[in-house]
Amino acid sequence: MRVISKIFIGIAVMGLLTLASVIPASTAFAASNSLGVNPRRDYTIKPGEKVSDTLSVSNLSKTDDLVISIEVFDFGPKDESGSPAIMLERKEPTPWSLKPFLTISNELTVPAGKTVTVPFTISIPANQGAGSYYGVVKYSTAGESSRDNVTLTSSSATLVFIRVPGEAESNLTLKQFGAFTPTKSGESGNFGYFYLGKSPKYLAYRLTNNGNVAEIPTGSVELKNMFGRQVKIFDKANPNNNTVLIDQTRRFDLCINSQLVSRKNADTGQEVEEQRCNEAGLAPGRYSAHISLLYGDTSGTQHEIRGNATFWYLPIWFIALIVVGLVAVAAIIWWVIRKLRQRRGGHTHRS
Amino acid sequence: MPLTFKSLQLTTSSVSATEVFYTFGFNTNTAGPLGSVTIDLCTNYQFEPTDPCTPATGLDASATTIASQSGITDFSLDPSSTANRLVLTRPAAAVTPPTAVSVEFTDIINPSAIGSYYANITTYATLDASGPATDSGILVFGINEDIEIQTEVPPWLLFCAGITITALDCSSASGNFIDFGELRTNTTRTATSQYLTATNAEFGYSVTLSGTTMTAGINVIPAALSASSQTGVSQFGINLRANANPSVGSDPSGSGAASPTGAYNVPNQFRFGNGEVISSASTGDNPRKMTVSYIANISASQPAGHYVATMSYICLANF
Repeated sequence: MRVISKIFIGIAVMGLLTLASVIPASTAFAASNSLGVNPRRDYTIKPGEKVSDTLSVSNLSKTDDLVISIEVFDFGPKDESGSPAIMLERKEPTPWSLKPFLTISNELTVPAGKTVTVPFTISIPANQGAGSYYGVVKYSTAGESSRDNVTLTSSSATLVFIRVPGEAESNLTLKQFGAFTPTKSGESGNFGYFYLGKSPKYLAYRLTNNGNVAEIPTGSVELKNMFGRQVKIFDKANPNNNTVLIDQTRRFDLCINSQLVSRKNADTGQEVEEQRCNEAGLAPGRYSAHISLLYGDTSGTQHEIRGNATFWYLPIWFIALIVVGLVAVAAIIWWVIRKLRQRRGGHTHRS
Repeated sequence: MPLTFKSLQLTTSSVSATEVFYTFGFNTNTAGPLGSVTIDLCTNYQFEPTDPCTPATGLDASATTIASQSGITDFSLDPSSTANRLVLTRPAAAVTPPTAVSVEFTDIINPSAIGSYYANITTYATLDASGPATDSGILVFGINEDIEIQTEVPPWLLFCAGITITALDCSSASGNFIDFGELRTNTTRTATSQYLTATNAEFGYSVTLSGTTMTAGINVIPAALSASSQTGVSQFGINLRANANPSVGSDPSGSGAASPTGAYNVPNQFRFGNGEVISSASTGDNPRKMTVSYIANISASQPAGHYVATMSYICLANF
C-alpha cells in the first residue's frame, strides 16, 4: 500500500512539475489598441510665461472606443542614436524634466473613428533658469486583466521640448572623429586608422553634451586625399537636424558615397526609394578629414568645434602590386648589374 | 586666430522677409591694428577664408546701412560691399583683445529658401580687407517659415497592436491576449501578435518593449537572452522574424523601411529585455507591420502555477 501511495504521489508531483499552467478561460475584449498622436511639439517659453495648447489623439478603430490614461514621464537617450528611453520607473525629476511645468488631464476616451484634442498648459516660473526641458506625454491604452498568459497593451507618446531663452550653458565636446565602420545593425562600430581590405564607407563623429541645452549642431565635413584634393564635402554634417540631448553622447554617420535607389516592395509592389551607402570608391593612399561644427543659439551666441582625422586605405591588392613592382624593379636592377658585369667580364676576358 | 565669441540676431528669420535687421557680435582675439571687417553671407561652410562663398538666393544686403555699433564705434560701410558681403572699414587703430564688438545692419532681405546659412566674419589690419586675415569665425543662422512661439514637427504617428492586423489596416487590429495553453517540458509553446506603425515624423520612431517576463507569484520563467529555443529549459522570449525552429512568425511587411533592432532581428534567436528598443525607423516611414513571435519553454523543475506577463509596446518619435 505504501509503495502504491509513493508511486501515486510521485506521478502527481511529476504531473504538477510538467503542467506549469492552467487552461485559461477565453475573454472577449472590446477596446481599441489603435491610436494616432502628435509625435513631437517644440516651444520657446520665457520665464514667467505660459503656453496653453492642445494635443490630438485619434482612435483608429472603427468599432471600439479608445480608453487611454495619460501620464508625463522624463526621457533620455536610449544609446548613441536618436531613440528615446522613457524613464518609467524614475520618481525624482531629471534636471531637464518637463513634469513640474506641464499640466494635462490624466485620462481620455476617444470614440471609435474619432479624434479628440487634449488641452494642456506649460507654465515656466519667473525664476526658472535658461536651457532645455523635455519629457513625453504618454498615452496608454487600457489593459484588462485576463486568465490568459500574455496581455498586450500599446502606448504611444508625444515628445515635448521647450527652450527657456537666456544665458544657458551650451557645451558640446567632440569625442571622436574619423573613418568609421558600423556593425551590421548599425548600433555600434569602430573608428579605424588603417584599412587593408575594403575602404571605409563612412566618416563619423561623436559629440557629448555636457551643457543644459539640447543641441542641434550644424556644419561641414571635408575629406581630402594625400595630394590635398577634395574628395568629398558634406555641406550638412547633421543632415537630419538631429538633437544631442543633455548628458548624451551621440554618433553621427556620414556615408561617403550614398545613392538614392529604387526597389520594388515585395508586399505592395510599389517602387520605394531608399538611401544606400555604396563602397566609397577611394583610391589607395592617405586621407585627411576636417570637421567644423557650430552649435548654440542660432539667433544668439554660437560656439564652434573643429577637428581633424586621418586614415590610410591600403588594400591588399595594392600592397601586392607594390611588392610585385618592387620585386620587378629589383629584378631589373639585378639584371642590369649582371649584364654590366658580364660585359665588363667579357671586355676583361677579351683584353 | 579664431574669434572667441560670435553672435547673430535677426529681427525675423522668415523666408524673404524684407527690412530685416542683422546684429553681429564678436570678440576680437588678436592684439594690434584693426582696420576692416568682412562678413560673408553664404550657403556653404568656408573651411578656409580663401574658400569660395556661394551666395544665398534671394539674400540682399545691398541697401543696408549701419544702424548702431558698440565696442568699436567708428566703423563705416565700405563701398565694396555687395549683396552678400558686408565690408566695414575704420581708421586703423590698435585694439586690445577681447574687445566686444556689436554692429547692427538695417534693411537686409532674407534668403528665399528655408535652410541654414553661414556668416563668415573676418578681421583685417588693413582698411580694405586686403592682406592676411587677423581673426575669423563662422556663424550659422536659420531661415524658416516662422520661428514664433511654437513649431509643430510633422504631425502624426500611427500605432496599433493586436493579435492580428489584417493587411496594413490599423482599424482591423483585434485581440489583446495570448494563451499558450499548458506549458510542457518537451514542447515549445509559441504564439504571435502584430503591431503596425507609420509616421511622417522626420526623425522616424522607435518601438520599445516594456513589461516583465512570465511570472506566477514569486516564480519566474527566466527571460531568454538572445538564445535559441530549447525544450526542457525555462525561457521566455520574443523576436520579430520568421523562424524555422520553432516554426513561428513572419518577417516584417509593408512598404515602410522600419526594421527590427539588434537581437530581435535574428531568426531562431529569442530575447526578452524590458525597456529595449525592438524596432525602429530613422526617417518618416510608410506603414510597416511587425509580427512578434513568442516562445515559452519550461524545465522539469519549473514550479507549477499560472504564469502571466503584461507586454506593453510603446511607440515614440525619435529626436
